[in-house]
Amino acid sequence: MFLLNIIKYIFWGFIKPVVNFNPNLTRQLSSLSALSPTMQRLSIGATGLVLQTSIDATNPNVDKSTQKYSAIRTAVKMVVTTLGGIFFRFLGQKTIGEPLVNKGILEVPKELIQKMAKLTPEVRIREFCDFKNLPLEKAPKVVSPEMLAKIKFAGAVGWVCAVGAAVVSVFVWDMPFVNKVMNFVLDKVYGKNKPENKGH
Amino acid sequence: MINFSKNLITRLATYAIDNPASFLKRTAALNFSVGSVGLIIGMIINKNIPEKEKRFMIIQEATEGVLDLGVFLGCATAFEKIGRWLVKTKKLVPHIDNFSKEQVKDAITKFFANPNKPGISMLAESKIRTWVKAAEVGAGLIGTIIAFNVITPLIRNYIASKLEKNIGKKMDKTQTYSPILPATKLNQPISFNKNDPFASFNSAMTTGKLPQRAYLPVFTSTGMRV
Repeated sequence: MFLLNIIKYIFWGFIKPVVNFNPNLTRQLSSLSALSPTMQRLSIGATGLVLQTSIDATNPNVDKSTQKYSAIRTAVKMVVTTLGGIFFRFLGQKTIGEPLVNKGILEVPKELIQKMAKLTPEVRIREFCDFKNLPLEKAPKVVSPEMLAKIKFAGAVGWVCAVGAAVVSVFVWDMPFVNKVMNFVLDKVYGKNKPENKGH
Repeated sequence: MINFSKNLITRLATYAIDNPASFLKRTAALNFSVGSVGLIIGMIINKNIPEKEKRFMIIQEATEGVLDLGVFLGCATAFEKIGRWLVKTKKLVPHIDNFSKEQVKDAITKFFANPNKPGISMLAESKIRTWVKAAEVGAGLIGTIIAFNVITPLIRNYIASKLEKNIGKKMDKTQTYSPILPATKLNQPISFNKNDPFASFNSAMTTGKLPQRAYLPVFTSTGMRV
């Protein structure tokens, strides 16, 4: 849904300038500026499941049974790596990154607060809405510079920690488990009729 | 040490607030590289792979990693610029409260003429700045998806088929595979469908059974490593 929106919005820019100046679309697309690595990974994984699997399933260089085998393998791999990737990024973002700021372990940089203080109160409310993807009616009446700086900084620290967790996940999830899970599923699917080492 | 990591996180986070598209692109590249290096380390410490083939596989994996990384960075950067260009040429125009369409377009022109001090109202500046960031992130995401999920797999399948043909020809001429098979079983048919590395070779070595198909070390793709 989310991804469809992005594609729709970008390409409508070419063919249907009518959608421009639309307040709702503006808000939706503006919230993309706060796209977290978790959502980025989810988008890549979800589209990869469809695209990579169909590319392998229609690979003209190999025979039919190899196509099928490598397509199943790719699909399983995409699901496993995406789930792991999202899980670790989410963990890094929500349980490490954002609490670091919210519990005051990491201080919000003064420059950022000063930057936010220069904005007028109205602009701060709007930036708050853009960041949280809220309609203007649901925004709080007053958004202090500290509050805006804090949610922006907490979000960004969440990103940084999500990326750190993703690096860790390569070693604790991808390397030890992905091949095992993949072989397990393929054994289940193919039973003993598994074609030996077909595809990759 | 704690101070150092605090500073580092703060600096990275500040960078992410200012340049979200660039941050996402660079960190995806970092994750991808770490994945590739992890895979290569896995090969180096894997004792089941014979030394000679190990070198070949590592070189191949490294080449593939660098190639994929280049495709990804090029694609993501190009799309990021397209996103910015869409806003600059006013193909993607935001809605700004109490602004007419002409006023919005005028504000965008002024913003791109002098992004640091555009001389437009603070509300319009903030809206347009967020809008540009969002367009860059959105377009960059599309570029990333195309690079990882379309171009890279196509290149990989293409190279795999090329290598398969070339190495297959050489092997047919020289018949170098025969010494590794038990001599008594050589009368059985061997077909060279060469796709995957050493699994069948290894099983032949450990079980002493002749593989129905012999495979050559060609491609060891792992697909997504972001």
